Amino acid sequence: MDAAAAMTPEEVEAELALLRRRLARSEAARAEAEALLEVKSRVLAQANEQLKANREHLRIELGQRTRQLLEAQRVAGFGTMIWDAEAFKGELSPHCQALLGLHGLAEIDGVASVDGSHPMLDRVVPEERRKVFEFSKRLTARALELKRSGANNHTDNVQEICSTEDCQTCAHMADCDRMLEFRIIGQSDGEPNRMIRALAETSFDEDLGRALVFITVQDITREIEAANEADALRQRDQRRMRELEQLAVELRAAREVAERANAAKTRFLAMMSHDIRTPMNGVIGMLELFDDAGLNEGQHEMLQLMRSSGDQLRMLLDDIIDLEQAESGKLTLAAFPLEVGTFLGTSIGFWARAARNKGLTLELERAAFGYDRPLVEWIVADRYRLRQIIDNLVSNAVKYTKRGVVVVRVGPVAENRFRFEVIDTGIGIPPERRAEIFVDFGQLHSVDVQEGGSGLGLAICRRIVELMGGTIGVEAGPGGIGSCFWVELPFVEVDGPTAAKQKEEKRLRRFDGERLRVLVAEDVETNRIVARGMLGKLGCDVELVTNGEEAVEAVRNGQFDVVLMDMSMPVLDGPEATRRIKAIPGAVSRTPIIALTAYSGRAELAPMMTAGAIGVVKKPIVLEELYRAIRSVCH
Amino acid sequence: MKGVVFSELIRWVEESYSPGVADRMIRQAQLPGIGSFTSVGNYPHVQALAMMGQLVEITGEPVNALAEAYGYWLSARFAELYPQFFVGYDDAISFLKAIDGIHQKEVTKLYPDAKTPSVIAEVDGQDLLVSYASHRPFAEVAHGLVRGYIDYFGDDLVILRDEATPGPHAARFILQRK
Repeated sequence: MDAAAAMTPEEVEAELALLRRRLARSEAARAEAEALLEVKSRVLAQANEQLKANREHLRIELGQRTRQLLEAQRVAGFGTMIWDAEAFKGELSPHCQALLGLHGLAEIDGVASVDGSHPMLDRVVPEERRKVFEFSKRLTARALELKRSGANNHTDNVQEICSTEDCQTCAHMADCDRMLEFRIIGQSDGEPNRMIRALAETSFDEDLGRALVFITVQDITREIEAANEADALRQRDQRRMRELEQLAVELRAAREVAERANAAKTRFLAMMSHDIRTPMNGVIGMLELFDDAGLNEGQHEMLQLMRSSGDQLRMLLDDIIDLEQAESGKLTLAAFPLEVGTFLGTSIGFWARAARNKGLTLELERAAFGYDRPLVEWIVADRYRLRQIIDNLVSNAVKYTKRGVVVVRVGPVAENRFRFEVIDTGIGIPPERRAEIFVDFGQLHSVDVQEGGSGLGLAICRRIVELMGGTIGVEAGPGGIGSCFWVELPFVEVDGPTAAKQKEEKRLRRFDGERLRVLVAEDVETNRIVARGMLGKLGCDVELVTNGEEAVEAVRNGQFDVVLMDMSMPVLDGPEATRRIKAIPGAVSRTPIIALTAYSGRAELAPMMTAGAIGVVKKPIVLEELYRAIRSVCH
Repeated sequence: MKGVVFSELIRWVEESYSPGVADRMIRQAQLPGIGSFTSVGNYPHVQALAMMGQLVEITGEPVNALAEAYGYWLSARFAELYPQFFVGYDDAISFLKAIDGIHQKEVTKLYPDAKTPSVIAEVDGQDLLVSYASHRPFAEVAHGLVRGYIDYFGDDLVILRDEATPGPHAARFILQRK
């Protein structure tokens, strides 16, 4: 009896109801599943359509990108090859095919496929096929190794590919083993071989499961040629540079020789000047002592001419010595109070006669130069050097002006700076020559020679002005006529001496009533005679000795008010004699000693001053200077 | 929640108890419809909780024991229904370690709206720590699943519960070699 037969009708009914509910649930579940399936199918169909559209879009975009990439390669001159290391086949871009000289390959979207059997290597020149083969073999092995080692699909780091030490994106192209340069055979008769550079990187594309070698190729024939040309040019430039350097060395040597020669010349001139001074002292001194009373007019004129020539010669010698001192840096400045008005009047007035003789007018004007305060009365200055500047400028103006006027304008330009201008109506100086006339010997021209100048005056002026901290220049005169030489100098104002003292200075011209006893130590007879004559004119009693030893003895035994001591003497020179006199016990050691010298530089005078001399008289001796020197040490 | 959990729950009750018990459980749970579930559908998880509650009423057994037993049974069903998930794994440890990274990802691919629980497996010395966390209170079902996988692979492992993380939403299982 089966189980259903044993069931009661109620139980059977309950079981049937259960089965119905289970069936209803199953059918409901099935219907729900089928509805879901329907929905999913529609979604899938839509997704499929979308995928198709996307795929088409991607295909078009990929085509565009590929064409752009190929165009970019063509423009950049690069070609690419992607080599599948396992399938042993590759894809070549059109430009790659062109560079390698491969033609007639079937293309898809511009990219040609070749397999390992393609005789690409035949395009390489025979002697380089082996290295190209080894290169591709090495890269293939690396790509396969990348796949075996499970590298990700990023392109390998260059350092891992390249075994060159310190390879920084292959800066060492020549040594990099992911780079190869090789020649391929010219594509037509007569076409030369071309040089190709290939750069490769290996990678493993995990998504595609492919071990790949990416290769870019580039025609570097022109680059190599340009490098060779540049190398040749560089070598030529280096050769020229060496030649120029050699030339510069020779020029430097020549310049040094010239400078040494010039310095020697200047020293020689200075020495000559000194040696000429001694006889000149005799000539000029004698001319000064010569009593011209009783001479007829012709004789008087001749005497004046001799005196004038002597003065010119003396000035020429002074110029040469000044120049030598300036060049050797020995030019120095004295600093004494100076009354500007008197000084200028005397200095300018000195040239009045010369101007008048030429029919010129010489005027001195006070000017403001844009600064409205008057020029101070007393300043500290080197009278001799300042006079030298003024004499040079004024004498030049008088010298080069045939008719018209010479005007000297003086005035302040600032609180502690004054300017003076010497303006003439002469021939003027062309603008292009204005700079060179202040250069040593620069202004020497025929007129100078005719006029008897040294041609050094303006160069010396420039050096003196610069030493004083000033500036000097020249420009055209007013209205473009003549010249305007100007000088600007700084100054320091001082209080002047009393009027009484000035009056006394002017009055004294002789030592009348005093009968000063003067000892002169001088080895040159002419100079002794000149000194004796001048001292006699000044009213002094004179005793003469011929060397330092005699001078020391004379001082020891006599009573002198002053000693004039020549510097260079035989037996015992001036400095040593001075030291010995100063060493004599007693009052005679205090006898004032004045150095007598043909040198004018301070450096040359230093031994005498150090030994104890307290004054200087330059040769050729000028009576006025001798008087002042003696007076300054005896009063 | 995926419909497979519901359809398999009813199947488990029918097989383990009887179709009548399953029918009572469905009817007493007062579900919105007639209590039909398809494995490819999605249903609120509270319906599963309601049915489990009624099973407790009907059988008188503790809910945790029932849930754990269902999980254990479900692991074998998964092996039948989705054998591809079990290919390539030799033991439960490697399989459990792959759940978070691989299996959940595959589930999400098929059912983008599926909210899978977090199952993180970490090796700690000789042990494997499996951490379960879900917004659904099915920690005991997870326990049963883990035990089922161990038996499926025939591993000689024992499961301990970390009592520091009690509660139906989270659990930590320590798998030790015997």
